[in-house]
Amino acid sequence: MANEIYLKAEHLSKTIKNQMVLKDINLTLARGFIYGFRGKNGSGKTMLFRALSGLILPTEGTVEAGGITLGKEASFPPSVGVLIEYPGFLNGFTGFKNLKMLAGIKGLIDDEQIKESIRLVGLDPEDKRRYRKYSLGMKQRLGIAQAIMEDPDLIILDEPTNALDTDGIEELKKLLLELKDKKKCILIASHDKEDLDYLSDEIFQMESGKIIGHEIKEAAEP
Amino acid sequence: MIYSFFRLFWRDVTYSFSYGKYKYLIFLAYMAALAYAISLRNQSIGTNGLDTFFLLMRDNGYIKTLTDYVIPYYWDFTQFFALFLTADYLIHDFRQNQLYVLLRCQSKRQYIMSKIVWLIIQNLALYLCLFAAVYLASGSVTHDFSLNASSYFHQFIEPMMQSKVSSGLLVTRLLIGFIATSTVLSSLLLLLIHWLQPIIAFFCVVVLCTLSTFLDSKWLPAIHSMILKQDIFDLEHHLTLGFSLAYSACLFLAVSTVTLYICKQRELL
Repeated sequence: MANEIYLKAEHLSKTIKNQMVLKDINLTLARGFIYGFRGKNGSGKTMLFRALSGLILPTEGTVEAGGITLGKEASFPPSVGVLIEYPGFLNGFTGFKNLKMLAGIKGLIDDEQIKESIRLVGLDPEDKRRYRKYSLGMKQRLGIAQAIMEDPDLIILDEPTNALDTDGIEELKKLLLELKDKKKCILIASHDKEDLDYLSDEIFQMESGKIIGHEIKEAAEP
Repeated sequence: MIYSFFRLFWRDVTYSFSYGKYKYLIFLAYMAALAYAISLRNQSIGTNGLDTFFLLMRDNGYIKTLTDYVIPYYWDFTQFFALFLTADYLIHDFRQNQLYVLLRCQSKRQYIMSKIVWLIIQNLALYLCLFAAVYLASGSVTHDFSLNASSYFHQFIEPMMQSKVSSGLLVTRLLIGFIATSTVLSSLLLLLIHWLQPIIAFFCVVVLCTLSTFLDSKWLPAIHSMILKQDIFDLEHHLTLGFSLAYSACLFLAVSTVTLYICKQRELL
């Protein structure tokens, strides 16, 4: 069965203060695939992720997510989980309590589902330690848990392997492959070529706001 | 939609309290300590909690000549700290959580509406807690927890009045003035942080607030929390509670409407 196209960017360009930060980006991304974005700092990966999640509006072109044109029919994709920079988790709360506060905004999931997402990233949902006691790797894992906890169709992770140790990276890879099997559309930006090569079905190379290279792995045609 | 707005608002309430609880505590403890000191100083002349609140929160009145100018330290401090508490949370939440909250609530309008309603509740709760802290600290010195007019009120405050009101009404008007002023100034802050650097936005609002201590214009938002400039103490300038409330409400609504419009257009860079 062909995979459903979930996210489409057509001739997407963005200019901020007379500087073109995204230049004529065209993407067609489907469910059940992992898409890797590689590029140096300032190449436009994070800006592209912001545009694809509706956080910035294109100067030219369109972004369509889940059949909805962003900025016209809706401001944001209908079902999206992101990790772009750390969320402002409260130092005095446990990981679970922090996620519960965020989950309360949508009110879609119960405590058990929050705990399950914490388990999925290799943390203990019953851990009574406050967030301030978390290591950088644990903080990163909790950030990933918040991105996946509401079972979104579109998952956007900016440098998800940052601060993770070898075990953490392996667990993350396993988790992402499971999510891919559940037909999620997953976008990852990373400096790490090896991890990106391992996980991604397609890799986009970015430079100066442009996609300058596109590599499709075998058996990854949507 | 109402339920989802309520969930957003409730998040603002719980998050802001958890984030700033020690700062709130420091503020209230400091004000209680000041109230305690004032009560100790005036113990012999029969003050109670209401008088202490008045003495702590009053301003410097209208300035006839520049040489009369006295900085209303407590008034300034209270206004600045209340603004700081609001700014601290808003700036933190915008920087750290806006993205995650917006993608969940899917509505910029609801997100900002929640912040606007939070401003009202936060200022209301803050000043009620402040009143309670001052009243209890003062009562612990004087052992007088009554809400009646004290001998100090009859001897010193009442003779200053041009329009006689009870001590309870005086403190109520003082509280209403502070809540209205802080809510309006906070809404201005909420608007300005979308255009300016947060520290510059905060500085602008503080300057606007301070202007009222030496300018007599009733169009300045902070003047409405200055009890000595109200018609109770000065009939000449016609600054009534009705005008203060109507003007503050109009200003708040106007500023909030602009903020809503701006935020709907704004991007998260």
